[in-house]
Amino acid sequence: MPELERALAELAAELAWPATPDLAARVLPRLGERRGSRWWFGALAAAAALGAAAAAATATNDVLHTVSVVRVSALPSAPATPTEYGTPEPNLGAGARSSGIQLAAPSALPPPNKVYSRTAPRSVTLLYAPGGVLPPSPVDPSVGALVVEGMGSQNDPLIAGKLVGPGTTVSRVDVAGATGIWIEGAPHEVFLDNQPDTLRLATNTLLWYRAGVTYRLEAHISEEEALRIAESFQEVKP
Amino acid sequence: MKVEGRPLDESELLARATAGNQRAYEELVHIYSEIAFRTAFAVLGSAADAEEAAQDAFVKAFHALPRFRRGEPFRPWLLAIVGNEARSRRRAAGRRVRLELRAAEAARTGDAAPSPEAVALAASERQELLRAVESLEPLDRDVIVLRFLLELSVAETAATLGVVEGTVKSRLSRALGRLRTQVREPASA
Repeated sequence: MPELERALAELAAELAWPATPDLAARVLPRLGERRGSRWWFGALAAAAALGAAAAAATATNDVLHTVSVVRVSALPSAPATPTEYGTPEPNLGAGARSSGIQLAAPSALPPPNKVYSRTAPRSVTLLYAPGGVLPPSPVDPSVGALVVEGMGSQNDPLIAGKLVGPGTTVSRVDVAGATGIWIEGAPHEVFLDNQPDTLRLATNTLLWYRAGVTYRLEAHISEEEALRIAESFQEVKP
Repeated sequence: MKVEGRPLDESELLARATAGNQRAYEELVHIYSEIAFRTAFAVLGSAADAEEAAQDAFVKAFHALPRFRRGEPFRPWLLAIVGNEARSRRRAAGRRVRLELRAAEAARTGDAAPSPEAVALAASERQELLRAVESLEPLDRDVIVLRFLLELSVAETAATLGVVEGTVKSRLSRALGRLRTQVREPASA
């Protein structure tokens, strides 16, 4: 073992970590809290589990198995920006390598301003600043477009949830032969990775699924423009 | 937790906890409290913040248990949730944290008694190394602390940081190089 690594190992043996608190005593009383405060998450989970029987509530569950859309009469409060996009990556190739997914990027747009990756579940987020065909997002004016590409797994197919209110329309579209969903109108809400705490507001969004990857393009643009951008996606070499 | 006079093994605890048995989950929390808390502390550098992050992670992990793949190791799966929670808090706080670790003052026992000068020199070198680790950029510091000071495996470090194992290895190589420039290599002393 190199000397520096040996010195670090010796340091590890002599570190004084803070005393571990009694977490169990604090965790146990909280195990039921989600049912009380996250009313919409319970409804969404139930709708997703019911599948076809809940078709009225999850109108798109038969289209995209990786996304559930629930129409609600009133949206819960949610922030405009996510708590995090993932680990920052220097470029698209690095994002593809880190996430392990076959990444694609729209040739109709310039290179993204930021690239982030996540591995649990695997996803890459491309952030585009406003400019050109991308107006500032009404929910976060510093963002022109967000592209999220993610892979669910066989045991965990649901990687995103959508809550839409009365002012939002949801329609089925064709994205270069792949089935997709177009969500337009009043801002809706999205959460990722089955994590209710990631809930945030979102503007117009196009979702489609191809070869194990779910694509999500969020931008305050028309359906026609969104489809044009979606159809320009090209494979990124890691 | 004991049932019928014998302790349940981890797979049994997981099966029961997944079915909603909170007592089984309590036992899992006991087993993994220390590594979860220390992992959160390594990212956040604050015991109070680490306690909150670890608590929230255990609550989220309980609700996510139906998605845990049976037969796979539980510890890296849990640490991925802990790491995600801790990193989210660090971003939300918008501040650069510093570790508050301090080297234990007592010399290791069991070895031949070193001279007071040797003890003082070793302690000084450890403090110097610790300060150098603390001064690294967050990406470098995280991977060094988790892999070497907390002694997580490469897979566990990757899960905690939300990256693939190859990224951990490359970051380790880079971080060790930067750390090496900050401290006097013992071999070259």
